[in-house]
Amino acid sequence: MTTGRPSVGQALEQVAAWKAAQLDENRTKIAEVDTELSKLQATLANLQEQLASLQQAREQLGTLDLSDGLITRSYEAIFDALRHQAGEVVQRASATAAAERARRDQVFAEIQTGELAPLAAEYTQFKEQVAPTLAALPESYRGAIQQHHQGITEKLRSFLATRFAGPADVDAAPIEVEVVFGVDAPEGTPEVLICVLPITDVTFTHWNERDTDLSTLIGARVAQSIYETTKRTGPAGAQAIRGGHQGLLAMEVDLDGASADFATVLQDTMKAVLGGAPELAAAKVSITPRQVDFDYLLPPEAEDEEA
Amino acid sequence: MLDELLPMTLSQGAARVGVEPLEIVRLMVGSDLVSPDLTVSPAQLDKLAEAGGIESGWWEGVAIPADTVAGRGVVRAALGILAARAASGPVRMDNLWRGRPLDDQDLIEQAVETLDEAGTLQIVNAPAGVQVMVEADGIQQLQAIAAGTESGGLDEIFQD
Repeated sequence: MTTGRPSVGQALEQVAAWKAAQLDENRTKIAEVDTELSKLQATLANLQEQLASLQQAREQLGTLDLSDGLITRSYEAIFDALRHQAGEVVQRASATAAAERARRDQVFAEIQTGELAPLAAEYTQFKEQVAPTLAALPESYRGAIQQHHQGITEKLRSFLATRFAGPADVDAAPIEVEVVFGVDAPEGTPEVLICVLPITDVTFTHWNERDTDLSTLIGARVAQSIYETTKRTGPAGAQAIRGGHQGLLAMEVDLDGASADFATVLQDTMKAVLGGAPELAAAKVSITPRQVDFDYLLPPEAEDEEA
Repeated sequence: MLDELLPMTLSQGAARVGVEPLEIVRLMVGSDLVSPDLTVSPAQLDKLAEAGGIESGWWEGVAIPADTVAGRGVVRAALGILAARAASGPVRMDNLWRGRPLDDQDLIEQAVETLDEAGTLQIVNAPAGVQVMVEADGIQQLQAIAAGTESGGLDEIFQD
């Protein structure tokens, strides 16, 4: 076989070589595609992870719970503001007491030097010298003297009532303070009232060591409002328990049995009582009742305990 | 001296009858006797005291029994008074300690509250003021505590 034509065996060997080359080329391409696939799969997995993270973040943003922070911040804001206001009330109480003392000094000086001076002197003489000896006198003398003294007393009392009608005016700029209250009504009906006042707690915790002053009267007007409200809405026999919290006076009332409109009636009653109090007007103190969420008036640690 | 011709302030009125100023306000509202400037005359004060059942002098002539535990004699005497006074119906609670030193007042109040929790007596809010009610069984137990034959579960209040 020298004709130059390939033999069948040679031809088939060439086919086999072609086949081997094709297979090699194919394996190379498969390896390249597999590499690309792996890269893309890794990229895809990474993107899916990022997508899941973003979805989770989105859900958290959509259900943000600020309640704990809101309660704590509100509690602190309320008590900080009221403490500041209580400081203003203390200063104004000093001014009202000074105005009252000045008026008293003036009126009593007027009595001692004016037309009523003889009556005032006789009144004092009776108290100091005559009264201690009355028991020793016959009843008829005693009765006559007492009747005479009663007449003098009535004249002096009438004069003083005229001169002390209404509180003494204070020459000062108006101040505005607030009374903050919350009503706990988890089931819709009022259960407990908490009221925090812009006055120091010692006003009532040590009431028997102090004179009645502007702070006392603010506390009394708030109590008056509460009791006038419970008189209308129930409960009968409601008792305001007073105490100090953060240096401020707080009142708590068990409202079991009160009607559902308690908070509304209290707000209206406070406006009427506080707005109509002559001593507050004379002291140039304006008091606004402000209802807040009941939880804002509870110390945060108490909230935690409840939770 | 002429000061005494002026109406009493809330605190003066409260001190005179032996209650807190806010109790005077509560009684004023309940009795429709709120004065425009919240002062009170002796006549008004008498009406308020009557409306509130405020009494003093419950301790006049009362002997405080000797007791080995500090404070317990006063509490026993107070519960003896309560047993006698409450037998015919509810009584105003603070009448029980009015006029006593502050330490005694605190102890007596603690004792009454402890006995309320135990069910021996009942503390109730009423328009006239905070009242104490005692049933017949309770009266007997109060008498036993007053006589020193029962502790009534009050030992804890004497430990401070």
